[in-house]
Amino acid sequence: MPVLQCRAEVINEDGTLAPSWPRAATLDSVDDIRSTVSDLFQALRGRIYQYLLLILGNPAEAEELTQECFLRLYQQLYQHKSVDNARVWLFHVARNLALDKKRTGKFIAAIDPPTWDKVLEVRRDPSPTPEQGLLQRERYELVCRVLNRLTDQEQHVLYLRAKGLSYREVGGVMKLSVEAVAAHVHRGLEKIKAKLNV
Amino acid sequence: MFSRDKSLSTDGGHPAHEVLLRFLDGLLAPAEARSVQTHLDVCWECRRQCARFQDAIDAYFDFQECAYSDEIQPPPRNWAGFQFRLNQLERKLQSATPHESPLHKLRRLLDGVEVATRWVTVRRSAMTAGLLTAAVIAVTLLVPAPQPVSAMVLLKRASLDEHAEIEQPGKVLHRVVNVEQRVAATGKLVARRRVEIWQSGSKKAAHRVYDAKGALVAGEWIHPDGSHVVFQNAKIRSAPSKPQLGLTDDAIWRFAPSAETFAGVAGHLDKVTVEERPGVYVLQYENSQTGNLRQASLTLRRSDLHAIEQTLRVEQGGEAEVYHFVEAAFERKPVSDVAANVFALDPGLVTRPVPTEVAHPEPEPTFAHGTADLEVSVLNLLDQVDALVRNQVTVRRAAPGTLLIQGLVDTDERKQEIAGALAPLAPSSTVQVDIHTAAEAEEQQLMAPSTRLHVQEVEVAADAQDGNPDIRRYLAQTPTVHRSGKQVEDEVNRFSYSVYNHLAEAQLEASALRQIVESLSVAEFNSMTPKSRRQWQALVRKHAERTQHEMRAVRESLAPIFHPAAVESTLPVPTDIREQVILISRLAAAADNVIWQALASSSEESSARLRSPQVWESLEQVEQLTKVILNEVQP
Repeated sequence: MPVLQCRAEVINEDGTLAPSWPRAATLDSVDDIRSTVSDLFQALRGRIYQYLLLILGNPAEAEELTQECFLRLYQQLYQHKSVDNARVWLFHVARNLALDKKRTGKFIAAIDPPTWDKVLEVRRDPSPTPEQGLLQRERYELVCRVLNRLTDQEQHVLYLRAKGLSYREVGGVMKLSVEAVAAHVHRGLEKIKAKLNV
Repeated sequence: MFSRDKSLSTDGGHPAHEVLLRFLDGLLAPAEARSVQTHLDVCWECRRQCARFQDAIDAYFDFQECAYSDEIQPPPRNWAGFQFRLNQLERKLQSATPHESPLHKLRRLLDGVEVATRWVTVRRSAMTAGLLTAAVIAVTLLVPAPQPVSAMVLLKRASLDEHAEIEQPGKVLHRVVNVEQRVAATGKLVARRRVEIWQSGSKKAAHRVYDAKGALVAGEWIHPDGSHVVFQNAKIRSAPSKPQLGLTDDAIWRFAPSAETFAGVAGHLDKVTVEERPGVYVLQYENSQTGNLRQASLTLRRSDLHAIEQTLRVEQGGEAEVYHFVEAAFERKPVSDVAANVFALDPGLVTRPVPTEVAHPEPEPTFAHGTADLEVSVLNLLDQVDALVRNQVTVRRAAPGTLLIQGLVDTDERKQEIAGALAPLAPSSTVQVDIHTAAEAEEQQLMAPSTRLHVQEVEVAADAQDGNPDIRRYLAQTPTVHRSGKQVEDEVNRFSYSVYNHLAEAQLEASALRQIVESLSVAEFNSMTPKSRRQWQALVRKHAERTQHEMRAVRESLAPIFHPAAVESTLPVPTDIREQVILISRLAAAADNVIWQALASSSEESSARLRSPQVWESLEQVEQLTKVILNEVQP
């Protein structure tokens, strides 16, 4: 019987915790697997999608691969293989699928000008002065430029850490030791810190 | 204190930056964390370093959260299709290895052993270890008895999968099918063909047929506007919609292996048998009564129900021939990997003249007689909530005495409204209602190209920013106060949208009219109760009047610009009302094609096409035909 474990802090799309979701589920039937995978899809698809979007820069591809990740989870469980941590497993599969698709180029896809405008529109402070708006834009662009200079490993670990994964979980996704993850996080943040001149 | 531990290496008595970061992230062991905290309590510099880390984290977090949120770039299909893909995967896995946990397998085996050994009163507890071992080995070899599957279920699933394949965003399907034509009696080879198919979504496709020497001998190109160009018998013809091509030698190539094609040619799915062979299902159909198709078989791959082979035995002129289609290649390619010209008409064909021809629609199926009163009653109830026009709800006889109501609606509320309108019929076992919301249909992938409800947004083409030149000139000359270029442009758009709307309404009304008229034969009409007859007549009149009204609005709007002189239609008027409504539908569709192109394009050529007398004669004839119907169908 496959066993599926997931950290308790599975977060719903609306940001709330999913208390009904068990820490570990023993899945004995196709129906169990199906309903569990469907629940996880509801809870985690947004995060996986954003991760894939970051790598691929293409919403349609990101959406398709997000679904693919959950289908692979279903297949894994169907074949009586246990999953220790569903969230880590899904991010790991997403990363491999995306990198396999992307093969070359930088980890973070470039943000095109229309998306930039939308970012600034959405994030606009309700009462900014023109100077504040300009500063905000410069700050975003600065971060974007710094990120493009980070190594792929540094960008991956920072992204996953910011998404709430612990160092151990980030290591699980990327098959790195906790020490290595900590070193990458540190180097990445040091570079951002230096560029921000703080 | 820090220098004693490598992980807490110091920098002139201060913890290293990495240590501070680990402290912030809660990675330090309690004793180490207490040491760092003690240091921070007294060290401004390290506190400042921590604040800087926090600032960098904030900047990164803020950027990431806003730049990669669903709000900025939402999933374009809003997660549609996941359940469908899950179903597909489940089927595939089940056909390969039926899911059963090892415990269940063992339990089932033990139950079997218990039954088998009961007659010799061997108790389970006394079973030998050898028997148990043998049982465990046998578990792995157990294959459950296959469940019988019906042809209808297989074809429906396979058709859904075919549509899902076609509709995959960002993908182009490429298929190569080899066709052999043989004399049925002798098996002598008549011809070999290779069919190459490119398909992107349901509205863009190219089929090319090559002979054994690799020369292009036939083809069909489907454009996003729904128009078709067919190359056949060394001639090219274009049609605004799918042309009718029968099971004849020169058009047989269109019947490549497909569940939908097979279901279409077989017609009566209850006569289709299924044979399960290793790795495949083979569906067989035999017919000795109607049409020229005598036998058909379709081979579906078991793992994904993909059609890989098809055989059609067709009788033509007293001789039977067998066409054997075998899929030679099938691939899905990203749009970016496909050259754009695969969908374009081949250069050698472009130079040939392309006579425009109105295509005949696919023949409608015939239905059993018997429930005319009920059908009229259903049509009337649906029409009261405008469902025949607005939602293209269709009513057809699924089996003798049974009506099937099908349709797609936008919202659940609308679905409930239609269900409410049909409430007076319930509880009736002879009426089956199959109405879905668009979301439900999308989820279940029911929106096959042939049944999809097209809610077409009117959109002026990108190359037509100036609008149609004739309309622009006309509106600019209209005496009124001085208007700026932008104001004229707005007026051109408003005018175009108004015409589009009348045109769309005319077609919807014509479609509803056709459905109502075609619901009954003359004999059925005569056999109905007077009340049902009155209801039917009222429905026909209502939609004929509306069709006439909308088409007149189109003509009167465009006439001053494109054809000031009045035109009288000299086209013959059919005497049968069924033929009349069919002609109305065709003329409205043809007019729609020409007018739409003229309004959406800024080219003089499109305008010239709209000025042609044939177009105006068509518009006029639609009005005349509706007038005839209104005269004939008197309450």
